[in-house]
Amino acid sequence: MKTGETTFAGYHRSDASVGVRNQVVIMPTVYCANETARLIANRVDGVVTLSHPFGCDEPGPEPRYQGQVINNLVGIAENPNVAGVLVLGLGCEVLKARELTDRLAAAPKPVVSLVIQETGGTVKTVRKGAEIVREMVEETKGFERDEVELSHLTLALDCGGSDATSGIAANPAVGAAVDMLIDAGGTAIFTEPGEMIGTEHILTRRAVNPEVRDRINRMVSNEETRWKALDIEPSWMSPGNVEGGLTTIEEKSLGAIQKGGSTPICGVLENSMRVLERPRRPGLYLQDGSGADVHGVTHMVAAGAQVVIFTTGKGSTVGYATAPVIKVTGNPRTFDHMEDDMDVNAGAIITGQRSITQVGEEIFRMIIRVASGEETKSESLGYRDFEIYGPNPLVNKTLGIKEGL
Amino acid sequence: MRALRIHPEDTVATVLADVEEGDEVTVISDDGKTLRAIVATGAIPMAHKVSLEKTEVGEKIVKYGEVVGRATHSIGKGAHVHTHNVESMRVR
Repeated sequence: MKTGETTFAGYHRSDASVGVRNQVVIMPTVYCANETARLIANRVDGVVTLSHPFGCDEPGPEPRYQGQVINNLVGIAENPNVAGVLVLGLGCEVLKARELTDRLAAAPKPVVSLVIQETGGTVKTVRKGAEIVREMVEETKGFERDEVELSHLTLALDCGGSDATSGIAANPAVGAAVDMLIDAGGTAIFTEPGEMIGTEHILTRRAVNPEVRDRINRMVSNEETRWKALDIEPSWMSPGNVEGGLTTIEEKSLGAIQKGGSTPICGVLENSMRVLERPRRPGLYLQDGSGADVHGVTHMVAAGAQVVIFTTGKGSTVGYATAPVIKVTGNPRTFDHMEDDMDVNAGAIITGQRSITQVGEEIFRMIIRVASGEETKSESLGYRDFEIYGPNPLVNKTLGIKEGL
Repeated sequence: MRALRIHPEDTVATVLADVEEGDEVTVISDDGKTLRAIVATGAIPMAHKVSLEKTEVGEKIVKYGEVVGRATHSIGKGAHVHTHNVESMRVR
């Protein structure tokens, strides 16, 4: 398959979306089904479990305090990288398997549910579940890649274990690659409004219209209000951040937003108890949501991102359950120490061997190769991280913050 | 020893390797041009900040051309700039 500067080799789905992987997943609706899901996945190669700690710790069915969790689960299952879904329930939980399968009825992929209490316990459920996912995996073996325009590609941008190299090397280099992707018709999303605090005046200048500007201000201000009220300011800066040379949240934020490049901000995606918005047209988007690191990746993949770029200073091993993660470090020492985990050495910018643009071009080419099937370091090592963020609705309610944007 | 000054208005530069007290540090711009040399008045770890000018208590610290905090102690030219002498203006 030929891939040029504006195309990649992806899997066309019948609804016109494009996957870069064919991942079969087992999605428990409730924590009580997590272990059964693991036992099923142990029996079949190429299957991941999306375990989480929700599904039954609220009085149901209304109001849906866990609406954001459910929206994110649905979004992850709908993502075109996912080629088959086994929804696994226990039976007596609040979040019923049926609720998820109903919302996934139109998805262009097999979605099957299995309920442990109805099926007759562990042995029968594991046997039946393994049969179902094995068949889904077999079906994907016949899928072939086609040449696809970059307008079908959405990138998730995240960072973790940042230090002061992140804002001058890794994030600007990713920003350069994001500018190239958007020029070629692609889409990128970044989240973590906590790391936008102190940069609103820069981000709002890039908003395409006053509505987007107001949404940026509202999103960041809401996040700041929540964090201040919870009295958790110290955690805005991790010990590793400070040791790595970051002095204040303003400095950390100014470094973090570099990964979004320099193109106009087309929109702010709501990610709340009521709705999970997706980009409607190509371009650069911000996304609401308190989740950091893997939680944040879930937000963005649930909104449709097929490839993740993760920048780190101190070093990270992270991968993701349903999307390849390209890890970029701006710290030359981290690259030397943890080369097995790092895909791109933006530390060459610090040592003066390469420019931001040169590393940006390397990242852009790698995005196309990875979207076309090349494995990243975390994929070949077997990392399949999954976390989901469940906001406490009492926080917004107590602070008088209106749900959504 | 090199230190990157990102924006012309910056009061600090980022050292690109570990610096010892007394080292001469070459300050460069983001297009790689040499701007000037300063002498470090203390040890500064890689990626941490060196002060490009004398800064009094309450004065702003600028990086990326943006205010990133204010001085809580008097900071001499060539000194290590970090949490021991700077605080956030947003969150304390």
